[in-house]
Amino acid sequence: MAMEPEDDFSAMQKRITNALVATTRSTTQVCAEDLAFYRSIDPAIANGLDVQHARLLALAEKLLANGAAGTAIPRPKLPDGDSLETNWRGVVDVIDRLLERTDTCLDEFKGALKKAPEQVATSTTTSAAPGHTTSSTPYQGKVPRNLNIIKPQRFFEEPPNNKETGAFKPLLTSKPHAIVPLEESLRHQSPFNIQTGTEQYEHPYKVEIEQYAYPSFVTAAAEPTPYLDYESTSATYVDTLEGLDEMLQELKQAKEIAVDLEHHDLRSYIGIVSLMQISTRNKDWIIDTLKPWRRRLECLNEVFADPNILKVFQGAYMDVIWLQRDLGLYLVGLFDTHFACRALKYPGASLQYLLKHFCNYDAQKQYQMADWRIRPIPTEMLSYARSDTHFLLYIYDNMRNELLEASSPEEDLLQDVLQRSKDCTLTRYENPIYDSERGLGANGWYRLLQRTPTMFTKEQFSVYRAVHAWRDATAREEDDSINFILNNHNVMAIAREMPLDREWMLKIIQSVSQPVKMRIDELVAVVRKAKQDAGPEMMDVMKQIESLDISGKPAPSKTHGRQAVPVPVKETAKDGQNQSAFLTPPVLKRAVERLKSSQLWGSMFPSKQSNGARPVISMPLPMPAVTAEIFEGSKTAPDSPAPQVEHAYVPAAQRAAPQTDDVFIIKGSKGHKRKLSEVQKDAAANTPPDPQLGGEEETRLSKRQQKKAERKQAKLDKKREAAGFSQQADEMQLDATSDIDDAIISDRGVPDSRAGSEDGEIEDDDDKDDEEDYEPSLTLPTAKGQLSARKQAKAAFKLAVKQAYGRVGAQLAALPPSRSEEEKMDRKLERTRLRKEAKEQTKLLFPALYPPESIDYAAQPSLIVGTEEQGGKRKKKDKGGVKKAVFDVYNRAMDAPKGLGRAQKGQGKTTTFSK
Amino acid sequence: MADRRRNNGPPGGSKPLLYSCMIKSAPNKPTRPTRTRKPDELRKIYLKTGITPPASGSAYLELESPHHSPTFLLPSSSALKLSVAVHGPRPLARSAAYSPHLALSCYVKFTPFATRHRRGYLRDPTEKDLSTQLETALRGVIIGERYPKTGVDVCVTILEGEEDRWWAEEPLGGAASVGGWGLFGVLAGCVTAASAALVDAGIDCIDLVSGGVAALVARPLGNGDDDGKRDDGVGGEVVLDPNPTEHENIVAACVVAYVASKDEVTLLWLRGGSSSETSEKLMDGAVSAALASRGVLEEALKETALLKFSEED
Repeated sequence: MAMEPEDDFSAMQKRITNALVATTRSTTQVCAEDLAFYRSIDPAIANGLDVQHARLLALAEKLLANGAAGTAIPRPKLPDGDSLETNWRGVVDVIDRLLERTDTCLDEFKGALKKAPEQVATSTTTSAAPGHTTSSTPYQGKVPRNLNIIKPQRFFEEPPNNKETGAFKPLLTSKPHAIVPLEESLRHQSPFNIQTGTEQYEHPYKVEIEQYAYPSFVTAAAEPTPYLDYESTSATYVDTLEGLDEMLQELKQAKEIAVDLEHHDLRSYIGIVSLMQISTRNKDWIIDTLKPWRRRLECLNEVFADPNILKVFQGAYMDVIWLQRDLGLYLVGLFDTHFACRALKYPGASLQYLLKHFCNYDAQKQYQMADWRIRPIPTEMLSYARSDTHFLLYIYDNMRNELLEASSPEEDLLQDVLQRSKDCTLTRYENPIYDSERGLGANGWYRLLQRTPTMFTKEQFSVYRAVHAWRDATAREEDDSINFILNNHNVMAIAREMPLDREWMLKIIQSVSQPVKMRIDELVAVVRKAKQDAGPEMMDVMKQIESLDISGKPAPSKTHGRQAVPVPVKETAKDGQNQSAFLTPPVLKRAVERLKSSQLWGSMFPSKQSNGARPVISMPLPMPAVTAEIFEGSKTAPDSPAPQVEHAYVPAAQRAAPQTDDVFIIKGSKGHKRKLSEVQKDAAANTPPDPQLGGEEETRLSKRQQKKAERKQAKLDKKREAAGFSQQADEMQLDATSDIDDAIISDRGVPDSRAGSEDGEIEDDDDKDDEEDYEPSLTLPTAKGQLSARKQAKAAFKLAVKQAYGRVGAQLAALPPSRSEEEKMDRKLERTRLRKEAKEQTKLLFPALYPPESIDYAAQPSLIVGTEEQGGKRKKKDKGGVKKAVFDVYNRAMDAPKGLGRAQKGQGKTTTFSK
Repeated sequence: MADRRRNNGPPGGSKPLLYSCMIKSAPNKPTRPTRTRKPDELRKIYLKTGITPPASGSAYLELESPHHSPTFLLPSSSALKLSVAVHGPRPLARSAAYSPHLALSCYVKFTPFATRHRRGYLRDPTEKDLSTQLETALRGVIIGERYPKTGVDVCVTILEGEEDRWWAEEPLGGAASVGGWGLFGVLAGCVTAASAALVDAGIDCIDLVSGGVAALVARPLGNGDDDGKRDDGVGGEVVLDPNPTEHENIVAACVVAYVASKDEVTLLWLRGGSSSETSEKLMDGAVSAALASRGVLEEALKETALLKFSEED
């Protein structure tokens, strides 16, 4: 029966091969003939050929249509012989697809054929065949990890539902050893699951476990019961209901049992318990949990939930979950040797270690990861499975005794282990729900991304999420684990590359799994779509999720760098671990002193302590800062009675009219002497000068006026020479050096030039008038708030100079009146000298106007950054027709002639450039 | 590669002949300088920034010169003196390939007179090696992303290097293992000074980086008795900032470039540590030396900052 399909196949293969060979042979024969010649000779042959030709074409078309059926490939049409050529690509597509499918099918069966030929043959009949025979294994030395066998879960009475969206409802149908009846414990629902927002069922044995007290034989030391000889005994294989009943009866008699499970999770979405091993003191059972009736194993709850029977597990954490998920089994009264290992501080906590330590037995741990779905189970694997539990009770005896021995009144190690074991049994299984939005959960996309240091772009992130979700959906559909479908590495690779066609995709994915091969087009479509509608930025989403990360774990701290705060030594000592030495930043123990002077530099750069001491810059004369107080003083001076203040003399005839004083113009440097009336004329001719533009405007004015002034001065000089007052010329020269002087001389220049005949006393008399006359010119604009600080300073300076002159006048007046002409000349000279001195001294008092030979670079007009005013000015000038090349730093790059190579442009070495 | 630009002396140089018998029979027999500092005490450091005005940032570092007896013209040992100039940030040449990060290039050069053995004008392999190491150390602190298409040159001129061994030992043969130990101190100095110069140039760094050296000094050869030297349980005594002339038998040494705020080491050069325990001790020592020299670095930079900002006021 089992061999029949194989016979069929070989017969069919023979038939097909024969037909193919015959066809090929006749084709070659026909092609060898000169058909074109025969066709031209005999019309009957030509007709026959045409008929056959059409028939073959139709046949081919039909075959291709058949091959293309069920695929997206368009079926190629073959109306005539030439179309075979033109449509060749279409034909190739169809044939390619056929070959691909053949390949896939072959792959699917080849694995099974190669690795377990008998198994494939018998798998259909095992359910009928009772009993168990250990076959001599075909896997000599090799451990089968992932076999391509028919999934056992397909035959389960209740096949796994991978698309569960609600809470996991305990599989219990009855509840042995119940304190709270089943209905009530299933009714109890814990509050909402924060993560999924769904209700959860409570642990059905919650109350029983919480109220559980371990039987007295657990807490008392006893001589370890030796295990039966491993070689001479064998396990009972339970794969029938009758065998199960027998076993259950025997288990009920036991005081302690050891249990272990074998689990398979590669070719199943949620995973399946493949084997269960149970040992009592004198018997081992191996239970096949892949039978279609596996849910019947729930009857084992009569033992597992029995508070009087101790269940010994090694590392029960996952076992507890698997038992309730697949078989609806719950544990009351667990002793986990793993916790005992931890409590006793063993160097290892694995079963392998315990077996070696207590029983000197080398466990064949390579079978741990084996594919436990194989039936019949090879002898080696059965042996391994039995060894998992065979010695466990003896190990338990020893460990319990050690725990009791190591316990002290303050620290009851045994109670600690029992409590931990109890907590372990309270863990609950929950349906895995895929959270595509936030990617939370053990298999969510967030966790994978958090662990992998990748930075995706918008598109990549979108593709990543889409592929991740697709993988999960496919895994649920195919009932394979997500890692079997597409491992994490491949998901990341796809997200990074975003392949948009099949070939590219296949190139990226390493070791393409069967389901992906079948759905490759679907996957490409998913990638394409996700790339098109790329969503938010990765970092935004990650941050958002991180902030509401409710998976219970603390959010990973962002700052990995620790502060270099000296850590107290106490803390490091407390840790006592080797790592702590590395984790504590070193503390400065002995500071190094700074050398005060260098051998090379000597004490050229004296090292200053950083106490904020600044270098004191000394000045030849103290310079009061120009502050508002100075102007305040000058303003209030006329109001306050200050009779001591004396002013230089200005004849009344030369005084400026008071109403003209509100227009106040200060000339630029090196300007020439001008008359006030001229200034007024200029002011009237031009647009009213903007006080902001003072300097510029003024230079322009002065330039225009320069010639006039020069002419005038020449005239004056001539006059003076004629009069023989050469000293006067000196004074004029002095005056011409400064704009401030100009302002004053323009008021007093003419009288001065005539002053030879005048007396100092008269000047003195007019001082009071002067003051009154000059004040408005200084204060009025200030009141209007139109004067800039510099103007104010200038005005103040002018005043101060005048006052100084007044003092000089007073000094001279104190002298006895001159009689002779010589005396008058002397006094004149004296006055000039004194005035000069007084002015120089006054200058020093105005650092803002006469900075001690330093240039304020910041205030200088800049070539690059023109001020607003300058810009406006230039525009005006441009209007006048003067075009100036504007310096543009960015223009340099554009200077190079176009069409030159970059290197040439950069270096400017071309002939074009030099010529 | 021959240096064709200068008229160089004969490659070996010529030194006055010094016979071992002369040393042995000299009326004032030269004595090896001894370490008067404590094992965890560093030499004093002179550090100044802004010494090279044309550079955008510069620093000068000098170690405390040892006290030397007036008997000999030769100083018993040298004191490290080096000057660092940082040029840039400046645009890379147009022909250069695009670089999204700061292109850092370091040049460490000994002046010909820096060591007892005359150095050439061209960079020799030792200098190239030091340059690479310095670059590694600085790369760890510079925030290179902020300077695309930009280059920074760090030029270190060593005016006086550290001796590899005591001069009088040379004709006598001395310890079989000759040095290269002086390079450790030089590199540590380079790192500290370069960090100061980088700050002076205003190049964005995550933190200061400072160099530190620790060495494992075994008992002098042929002196089996306990001579009062401490033994750290690793076959010798761990000393910080060793002056190689002061120790006859340095067994292992380690230099680190250490970033204190991140507790991170950007450069580690360890030579001679045979066991992991030794290496660990040396590394710890070097880190604490670096931490100590950071103090001086900070002080010098504070001073620079004060000067700079008071100027701007």
